[in-house]
Amino acid sequence: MKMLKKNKLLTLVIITYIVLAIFQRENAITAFNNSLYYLKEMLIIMPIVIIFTILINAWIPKELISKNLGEYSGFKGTVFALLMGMLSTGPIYAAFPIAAVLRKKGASIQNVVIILSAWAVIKLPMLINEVKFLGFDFMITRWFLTIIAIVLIGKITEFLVTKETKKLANA
Amino acid sequence: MDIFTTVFWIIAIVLLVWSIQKDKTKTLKAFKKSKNSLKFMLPSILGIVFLIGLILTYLPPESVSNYFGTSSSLKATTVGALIGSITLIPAFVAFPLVGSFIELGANIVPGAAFLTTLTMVGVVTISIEKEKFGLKFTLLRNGLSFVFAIIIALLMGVILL
Repeated sequence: MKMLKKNKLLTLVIITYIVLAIFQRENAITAFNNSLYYLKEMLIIMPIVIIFTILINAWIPKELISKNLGEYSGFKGTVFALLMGMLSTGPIYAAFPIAAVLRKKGASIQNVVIILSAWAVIKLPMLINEVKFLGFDFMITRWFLTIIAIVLIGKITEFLVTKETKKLANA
Repeated sequence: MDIFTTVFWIIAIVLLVWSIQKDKTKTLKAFKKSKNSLKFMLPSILGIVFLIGLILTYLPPESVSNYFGTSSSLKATTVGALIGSITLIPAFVAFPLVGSFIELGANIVPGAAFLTTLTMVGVVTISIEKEKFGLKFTLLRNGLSFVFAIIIALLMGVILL
């Protein structure tokens, strides 16, 4: 019960299913069956994500992360973040725990945004699929433009988020 | 399981075994830390998983085709980006889907916007992202991703058409 109170989304979804089961049984069953595929995906991906957060927590020192992904990691940090995001698998929610640990250990906001966005939109398994259905030209153009966009989004987000915190710190 | 996931599973298990052998207490301590931060996330992800099922039932991927026309205008592109932001079609369905629209004569520009926002803008995952990185971060990242998805798509029209 406590778990449900703390998780509005899950509670809301469960209530929706219960209501549907009463009034539109058919749709509730279809929705449930549709979800099973994603449930399987979650069960396959999340253990890996958990293991990686454990490994990062245990073995990667803060200094190493702030040096390579921190505020002063510069161009090297950007490339590193892009590679990390691209060499991944699974949906974006799988990226959240990893990015959160890295942030806690000193990664900059810019690089966290880059990792999350690259993970979401230009990860390698996705690019392969894109070539197959939309052609190489489409993929490579989108890939190139997206990288530029992701870096800019990272810079703007970092600028606007830290501006606020700096203002608060000075007040 | 695709090849990427398999490779990641192997790497994860090998490293975990190495970690436990090298320092059991350290690994256990890290596990406790991770457990705390994941306690909130796992139920939320479960909520998302079953929400995807609901959305797919009431907004099946094929219905998206109604919104893709032959226009590459800003309006058509914005509509493509909007649909991508709220729907949760997995990428492996979305690519063949958009591919088939284009074969049928749809313009690639709204399709490109749709593909980019589909994965980069997550209305459904906002609750988790907010919890981990703060509201401002989340709104900025999603909002900017939306705007840039449109810019990327329009530029693709200029380059590819």
